[in-house]
Amino acid sequence: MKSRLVCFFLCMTLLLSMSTSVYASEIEDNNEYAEEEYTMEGTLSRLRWSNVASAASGMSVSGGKASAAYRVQGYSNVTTIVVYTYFQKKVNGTWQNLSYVIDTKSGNFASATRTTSSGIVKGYNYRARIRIYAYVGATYELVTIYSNECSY
Amino acid sequence: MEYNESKEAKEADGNDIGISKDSKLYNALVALNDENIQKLIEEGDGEELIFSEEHNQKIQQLIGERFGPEAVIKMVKIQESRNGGRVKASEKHNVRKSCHFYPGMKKIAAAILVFGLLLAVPMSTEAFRQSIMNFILDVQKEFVAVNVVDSETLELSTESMPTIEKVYTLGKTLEGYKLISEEIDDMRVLRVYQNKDQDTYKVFQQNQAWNSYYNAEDTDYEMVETFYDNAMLSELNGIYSLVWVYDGYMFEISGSLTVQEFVTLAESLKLVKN
Repeated sequence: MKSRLVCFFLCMTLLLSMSTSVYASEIEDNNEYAEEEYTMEGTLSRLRWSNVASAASGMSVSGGKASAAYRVQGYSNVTTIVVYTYFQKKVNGTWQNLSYVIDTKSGNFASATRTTSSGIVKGYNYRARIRIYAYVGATYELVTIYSNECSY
Repeated sequence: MEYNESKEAKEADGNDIGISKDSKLYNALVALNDENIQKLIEEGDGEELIFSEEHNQKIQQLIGERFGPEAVIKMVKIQESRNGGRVKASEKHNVRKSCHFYPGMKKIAAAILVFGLLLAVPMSTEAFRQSIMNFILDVQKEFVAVNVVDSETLELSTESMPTIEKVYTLGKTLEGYKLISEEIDDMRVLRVYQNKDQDTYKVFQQNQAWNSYYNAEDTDYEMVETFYDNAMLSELNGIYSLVWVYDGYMFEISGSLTVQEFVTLAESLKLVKN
């Protein structure tokens, strides 16, 4: 019984320290939604960087049009990569989604450029929020990255 | 013959394991000596007793608690030997189960806990940045963000270069490889090369304002000498990438190549569209 209590205490302390580091994320993520969050097929793997090796994203805004591009490199066992590109506008200090595009690619690499003119007006800052679902069979890892911020 | 734990046996040796101190099994387990175990296996333990599965599980757990998993493993070996090499799955499970109570495991758990706390505290309170030449590695809790800094101010580049105005390509292709796909648009240039064994390498050109993220926990980095100011080589589970900055763009070659192949390819960069 004593041993179990000690183990329980150790586990709780370790979980607490881990959750602290996650909570301390610097990326602001206010008033955002993800259409697909509760509808993705498969099982979410909570082991970070288990399927994705690297990811990158960039954005540019000009002529009333925003372009967001990304590239994702998964490990060799990754079978499918699904990418949701959310175009976001900063309104009163808060990021809001304007529209999104879905890409599905077989294999362990994905890259694309997506554009939108919906909601793009001068006087605001824009960025892309890229939600990457990297599948190995029916299990996927979710990685969210952000592009550079653009003033328009 | 069904074995029953007797109150007398517990009292006789003063422990809660339920094995008499006089028994060969107890002595063998205390000695934890392969020779003794072998002797025990060869000699047997007098009259063959048939234990209930429930008893076996309990006794293994108690032995594991008292002597550690090694003793349980050796006990299972004895049973295995007596049963002609057969061990029930439930007994194997018990070996693992008893490990939870092994005092050494507690020490390991405590060490992991202390290490985890030490790691968590600095990483959660402050991310740290390391500037290498004109790259900046922003090491955070779960990733490394690689960005390009302005070479004069050494500040993070915030200028949004709208599109790719100049398109570059590599002047050389590795022997045995050929270009199999090419994607060029305002934001990026991607070329994929492949050989007959389906090995590939990719060449990517992007705006230097992009944010690039890498696995912070497992990636190794080193600077590689090229005729550019600098180039950064990273390795992660056999996936190598060489990243460098030239003419306001960031380039990356990725694949299972040698350093010399990376350098040869990088230095063959040439402008194809201005």
